Amino acid sequence: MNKKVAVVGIGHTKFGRFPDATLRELAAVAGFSALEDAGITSPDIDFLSVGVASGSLSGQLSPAASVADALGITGAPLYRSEAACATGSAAIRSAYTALASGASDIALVVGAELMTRVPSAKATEYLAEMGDYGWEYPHGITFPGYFGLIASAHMKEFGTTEEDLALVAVKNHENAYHNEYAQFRKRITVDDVLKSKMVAYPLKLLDCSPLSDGASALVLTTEEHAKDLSDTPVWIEANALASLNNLAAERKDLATIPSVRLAAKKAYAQSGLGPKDIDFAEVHDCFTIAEIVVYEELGFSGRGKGAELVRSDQTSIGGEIPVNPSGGLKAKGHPLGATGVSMAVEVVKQFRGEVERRRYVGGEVALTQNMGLTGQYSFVTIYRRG
Amino acid sequence: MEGIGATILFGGGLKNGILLYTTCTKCGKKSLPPRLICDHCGSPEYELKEVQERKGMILASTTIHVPPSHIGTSEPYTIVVFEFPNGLRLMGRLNPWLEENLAGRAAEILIDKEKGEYSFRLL
Repeated sequence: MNKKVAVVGIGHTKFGRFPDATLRELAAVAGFSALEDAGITSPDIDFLSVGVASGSLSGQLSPAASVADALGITGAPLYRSEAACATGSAAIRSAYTALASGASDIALVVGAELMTRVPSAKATEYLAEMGDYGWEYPHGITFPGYFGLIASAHMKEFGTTEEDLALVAVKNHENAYHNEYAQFRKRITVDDVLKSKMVAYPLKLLDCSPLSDGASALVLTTEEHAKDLSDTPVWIEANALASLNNLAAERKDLATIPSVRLAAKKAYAQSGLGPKDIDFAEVHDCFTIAEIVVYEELGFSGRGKGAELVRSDQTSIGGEIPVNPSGGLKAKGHPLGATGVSMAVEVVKQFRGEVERRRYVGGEVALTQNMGLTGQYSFVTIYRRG
Repeated sequence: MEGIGATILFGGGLKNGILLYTTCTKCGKKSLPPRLICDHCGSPEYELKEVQERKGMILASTTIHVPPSHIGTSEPYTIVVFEFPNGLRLMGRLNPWLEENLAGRAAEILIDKEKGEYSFRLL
């Protein structure tokens, strides 16, 4: 990778339940917003990178063509990426590699998902099909279930409690309360979480990210064009990807997600930065336990000490290292294809000072961590304010 | 064994009341579920073995209250990751279901020959 790559445009729909929306419309709203933000139009794009995790959920298979049509993009190269819940980050990486290698000059990344069109039990089945079809899916394991297993192992090994998990949800709901794009703008208490309906022991409804509709978008370009397109470019200092064995039972230690540690190690090496240099982070809190494990894998805390960060408010706004100032997947919402892109949008908005005052953290260096399945796809990206 | 998938192989074992795993004859890596191509060294040479132990330990557990539509049950069910004394691990159902953290608890595997299925039970 030779060329430096910057984010020069951002777009974002609200996240929530939009029964009348179609995938292409959501994608177009976010995509056109990003183009407008960068001051360019569709013909300027020479790579369209679309992230949509599931064709079954929206009913639209091979979505890149449909999204290109909605955006009036014809002739340019187009591509669809998929990495389950990290699909948005896969779409960013596709564009990043195309730009850094010199294959393209200006890329539009659009991540979108339509998850509430089908009944929630059906959506749960479509998501469960992402687990190993032969060895795990037949037992009825669901994604809350996979993370329930991880929580059970972490609680046994390190004494993490259900109250600790609840604190993550309380923090992220507090942040989302101030985010106009968030699905849940409702403050909750530890007691609310503990009393909410059990989904997959020990995870309750308020430990879980919701089914969401939504889209987000970025315009990315190389250093040659960045200054022409934006006064406030945000540079991608590192973009790392790592994988992990697929079957949960084959993992040596279910209380860890080693691919996150590996991706972070690569990203820190690429950027010459370490966890102490990160001003804030957007991480993959699909379930509350995930955020705690991710603290440990990113080096924000020692191994087994993740819960201490949230107990002492160090990851709240105003803390040592704010995590998920957007409200995270938990409360902002988690439209799979949009999530990784939305993390980058949040970073840019924070750097530009374009977020609500109550959840502003600002800074110079931010990290995003987005994983697919239970870490089979692990992305860590580091951004620096231009 | 050429042309026989690992899933079919394992399922056939269950119908005979046994649990099959593979050991790579080149590097010695043990695999459960069986792997016909070693995921450590890539060798297609394997030896088919039978898990002798039935007792072991639960490493992690969850109890699912919101099932996907293909499961079609309203009763919660418990899923565990179970470890045999030789270090091999397997995911499966624990019957009857029990809503607590079962990590560290002793359990055993039960094989239903007629259905070609397995499940776990607490000891």
